[in-house]
Amino acid sequence: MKILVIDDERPTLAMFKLFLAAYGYEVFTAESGEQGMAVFASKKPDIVFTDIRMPGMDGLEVLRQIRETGAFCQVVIITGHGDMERAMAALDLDASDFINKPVERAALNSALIRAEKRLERMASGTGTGEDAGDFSVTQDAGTGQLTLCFGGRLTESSEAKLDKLFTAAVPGDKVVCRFADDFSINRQGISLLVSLLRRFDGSGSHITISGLSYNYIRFFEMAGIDKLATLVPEDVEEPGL
Amino acid sequence: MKRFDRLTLKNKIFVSCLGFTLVVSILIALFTRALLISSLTGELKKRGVGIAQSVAESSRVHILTKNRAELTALAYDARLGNRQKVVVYLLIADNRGTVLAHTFTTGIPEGFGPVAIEENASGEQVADMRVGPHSVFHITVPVKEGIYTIGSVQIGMDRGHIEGLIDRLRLIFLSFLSVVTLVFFFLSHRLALNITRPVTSLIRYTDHLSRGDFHFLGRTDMAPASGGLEDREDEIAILTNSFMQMTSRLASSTERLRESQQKYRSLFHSGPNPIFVIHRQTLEILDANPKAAEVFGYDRDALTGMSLLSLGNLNREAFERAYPEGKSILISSKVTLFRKDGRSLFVNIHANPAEYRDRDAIIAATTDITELVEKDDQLIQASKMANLEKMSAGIAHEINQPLNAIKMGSEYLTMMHERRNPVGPEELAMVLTEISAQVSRASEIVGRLKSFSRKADFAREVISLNRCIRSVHKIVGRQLALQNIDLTLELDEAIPAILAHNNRMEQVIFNLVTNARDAVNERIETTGDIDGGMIRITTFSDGDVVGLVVKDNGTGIPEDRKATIFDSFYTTKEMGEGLGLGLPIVQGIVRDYSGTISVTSSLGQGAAFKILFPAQTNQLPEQEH
Amino acid sequence: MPGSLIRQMKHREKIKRADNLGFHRSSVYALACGVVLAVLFFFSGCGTPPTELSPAADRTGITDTQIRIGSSLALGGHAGYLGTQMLQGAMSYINHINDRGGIHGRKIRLIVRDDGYDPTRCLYNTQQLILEEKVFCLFSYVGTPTTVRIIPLVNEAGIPLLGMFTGAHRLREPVNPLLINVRASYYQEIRAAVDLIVRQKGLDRVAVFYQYDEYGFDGLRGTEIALKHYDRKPVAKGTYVRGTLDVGRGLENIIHSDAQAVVMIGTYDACAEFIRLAKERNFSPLFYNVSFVGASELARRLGRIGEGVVVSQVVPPPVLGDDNLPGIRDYIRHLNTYYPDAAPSFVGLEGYINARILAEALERAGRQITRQGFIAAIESISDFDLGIANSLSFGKGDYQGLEQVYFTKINNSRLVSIK
Repeated sequence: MKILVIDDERPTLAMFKLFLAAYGYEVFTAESGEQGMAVFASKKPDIVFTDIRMPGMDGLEVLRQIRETGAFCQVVIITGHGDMERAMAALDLDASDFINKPVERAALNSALIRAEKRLERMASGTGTGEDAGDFSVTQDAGTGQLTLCFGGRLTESSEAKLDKLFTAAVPGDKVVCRFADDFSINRQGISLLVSLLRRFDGSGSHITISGLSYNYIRFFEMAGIDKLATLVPEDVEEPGL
Repeated sequence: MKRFDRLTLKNKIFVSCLGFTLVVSILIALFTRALLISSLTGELKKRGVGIAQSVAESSRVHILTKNRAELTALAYDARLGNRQKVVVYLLIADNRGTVLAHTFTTGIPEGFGPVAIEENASGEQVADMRVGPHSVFHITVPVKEGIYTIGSVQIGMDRGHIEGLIDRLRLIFLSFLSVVTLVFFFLSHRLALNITRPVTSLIRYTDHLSRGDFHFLGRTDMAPASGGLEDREDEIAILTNSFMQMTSRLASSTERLRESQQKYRSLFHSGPNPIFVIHRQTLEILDANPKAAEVFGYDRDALTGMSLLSLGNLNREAFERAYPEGKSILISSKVTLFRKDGRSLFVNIHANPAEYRDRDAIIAATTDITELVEKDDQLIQASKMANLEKMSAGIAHEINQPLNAIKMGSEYLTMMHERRNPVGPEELAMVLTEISAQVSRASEIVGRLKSFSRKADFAREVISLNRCIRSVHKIVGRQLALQNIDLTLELDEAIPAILAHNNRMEQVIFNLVTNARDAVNERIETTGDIDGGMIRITTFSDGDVVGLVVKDNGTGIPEDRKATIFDSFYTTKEMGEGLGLGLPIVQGIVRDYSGTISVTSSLGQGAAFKILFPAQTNQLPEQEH
Repeated sequence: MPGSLIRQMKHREKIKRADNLGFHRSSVYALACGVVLAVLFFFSGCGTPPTELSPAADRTGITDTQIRIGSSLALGGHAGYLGTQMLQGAMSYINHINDRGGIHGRKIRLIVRDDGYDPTRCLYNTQQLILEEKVFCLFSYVGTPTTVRIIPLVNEAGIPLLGMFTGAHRLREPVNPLLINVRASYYQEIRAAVDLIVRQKGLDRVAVFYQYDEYGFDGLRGTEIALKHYDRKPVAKGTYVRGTLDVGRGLENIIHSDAQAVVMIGTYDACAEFIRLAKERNFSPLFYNVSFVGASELARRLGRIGEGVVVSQVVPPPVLGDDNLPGIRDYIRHLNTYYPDAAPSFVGLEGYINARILAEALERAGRQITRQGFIAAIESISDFDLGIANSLSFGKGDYQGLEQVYFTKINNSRLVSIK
């Protein structure tokens, strides 16, 4: 599998190359957005890691251009401290994932695995479209535990669906939210989720969220969702060929 | 004459009148006496001559017949009745001088003899003689028979008689004089009183006035003096009236003065600011209000006598300047003064020249600006913090890079170690070196941050502008590059040093650069010209002036805004993006270092901020980190 | 500061002084009086005070052995009888005294001058007596005009005059200690006479014939005064000039008035002529003469014609009558001693009495006699008995000794007393 890493920091590029090479990927590097697009065009990588802040063409621009090409490429955005706004923008542009600097192994692994899963799904044609969101609510009669399942992309267009779904639900003591591998969310989706969780939290239920990738947990923490619910991390496998 | 001058006016008038009257009376009396004496004497002589002549007529025949008895009878007849007093004696002598008859009943006085009469004497002779106790006119009249003198009649007229008459007249005169004198005595006394009594009242008025007593006009003991004035229309009345008017005006103006004095006094005493009255030349404290005693912790008595300069860091020269008429001027601002217990406070001193108890003094009012200064400091600190906030994004980003490299390196090694994969030596060396280098990088960034946020020392240091600029460049250079803004430095290495603080100067430059960046970004956003952003910092020197210019090609400042950009809270940024504290703080700091800041700009053409500082000729200290 | 304080204090003082309106009233008055007095003194300083001779200690005319007395009287002329008689009478006594050793060892020396009843001569004589003869006092003058003439001299010289043969009012008024009268005054004589005439005799119409001089005027005045008491006036007046006998016109007046009585003030010659002529014209009122006329001589001259003429006298008749008055007896005796050929007369008796008083006064004045002492001695004579049943008194303010008036009538050419 080919990975392209774009970052204007040379030390970072070097580390990435080491790491990814150790994982068995074929690593290409670029020091700028433009250079990266050039390499992308020529090497056609499957996964692209790009720093979001770069002089000249920044990471968001890279992501946009890659999306425009229509390739089934997973773009992981590398964010720095305080780049929340840019991260949201990247999610809007359907970035595959994002990882925070300084990059932790677990974060890197999680991003790689998600990217690969998404690639598989896309290749097998079961990839969901952008607009499709798959949500379900089950209630365990015995324990009263409410289980909410999220799949696909949660956007503003999911609002009606969500509403219909959850007004029927009677929150009990426990609420479990499971997120699927292919779950993705955008800016408006976040605010919808937050308002939903608030509703449950307000009624005194204990909410658990699981199934999120390492980075998504990080992301939810940044959004303040960890205050409304308990975020359960998943074990991350070591990627590798 | 001096005695006369020392008399009161009343006595002067009185003495003058009386003296004049006396002198005139005496003169009249003397004159009249002289006149009388001469006329009476003449009359007496004439009378004597008359008597002698009539006796001479009658005695002619008896002289010829030598009838002494008849002659004696005639002689005595001449002294009949009231002639007895006037005629002392009469004698009839023959032409040989023998006394034929006489009236010396008790004997001819010693030494007396008939006056010899000339043969051809025609008229009478008069001589002054003294006969016994009497002073007489001795009149000799010849007895003629035809043309021949046959004898003489000699008669002695008593001058004492005249004197007796004159004495009587004199007595009459004297009585008259005495009466007149007495009358005039009282008249002139009255006159003098009449004139001077109002004057005396006036004197009493003025005396009361001079003692500050304005409320006597209604008192009854003054009434008699002014009471008679209604009837008078003379100068005295006019004077008194106008005097009373003046008094009432004076009373009211004194009242107003007293009120304003009270106001002043209450202001002085209850003024919320410490106020000192100091000597113009020696700057010695003459008076201090209670607030001053309270603030500075000294007794008022302790304060008076101290020199104002001893209270703190005051410059004598600040007081020695021309004071504009009627205004108070700011002597010094942000002066540090010390309380008795050693605590310091910052004050502004306003001064006003005044007179205090006949001495040239200055009223110095101090305004406690300690809080302001502290707030100022706090503002600077806040601004710094704001800047810090701005910087922190960049710093965070900056620090993240080395941190990332370190993290990834160490994660890699850990992962390889866990997988039991061997790490190639080149890779190991690279990772380790990189880790070390990135740690150093991070430390440097921290150091810069530290120095930026440190509070400035009080005393100014000799610093290099260029060094500050370069430091800032290190901080923000990468950021700017990220935003596609070119930051170029054109620094003149030969410029002299200035007296300032490094971190403050850095703050200033940072502020300007940040503003420039924001302006450029704004222009880029509006025009879409991504690559054109440019900020240029230039330093230069001109004589004893050192200057720096921060020029950008941002949106520029509109003409009408140029005046207000240094005002606090002026900002073009949207709510929440910036407090607008930057430029005022910059100006404040520049001013603190005795510098000036100015801006040239036009809308759409960018802006150039120029700062000038006085050059410091001292040697630059060794470069230090 | 102190300088201005002192100025203020001085100013206050000045104000206080000026304020003193009253100006110490008392000192004002004192000042006034002082001024007046000063002026008075200043002026009165001029002028000489008159000096006076004090007669008190005058001892002119007194020597160790003599008292010189001066007299001027009519020894000759138409009034010579009077003077002569007076002198004789006086000298009778004086000689008597001198023969007895004088008074206090001093003999009285009377220096006599004849003035012929002429005032001028009397004046001159008196001047000589005072000036040349330096007499102690004057004595025994005769006549009104004469004596009156020398009053100024008496006053000027301060010399006493004792015993004048005249009853003139002027010698008695104003009272003068230097003029010592013995006899009663004419006023008294005439008053008594008018009483007699009008009251006693019941005669209404009274005329006056008088000598045209001081003497006569005095008598006229006395008559008028006396008649006034009876609400009468003289019905006629007639005069003659002293020394003449021109009585005709006067007589005419009086005859024409048909007077019932005529008061006559004249001398014996003129009065005798008047009466004679009147009798010739069958005009026979009651004729009355004052004592000065010289009764004896009048009687002698008139003879039978003088029958019934009344003369008043101031001394009793100089004859020894039933009463046998010792004074008369002494007079007659002494007169006979020194003037054996002389006959006693009223005039002489007067002279004698004058001398007696003179001697008495000199005696009383003592050895250390002065003029003032002499006068004091006169004043001390009171109720002095001359032996003529007519008490003599002087006193302070009373310088007339006798008061009585006698009346005599010519009868058979002789004077007889009438009561």
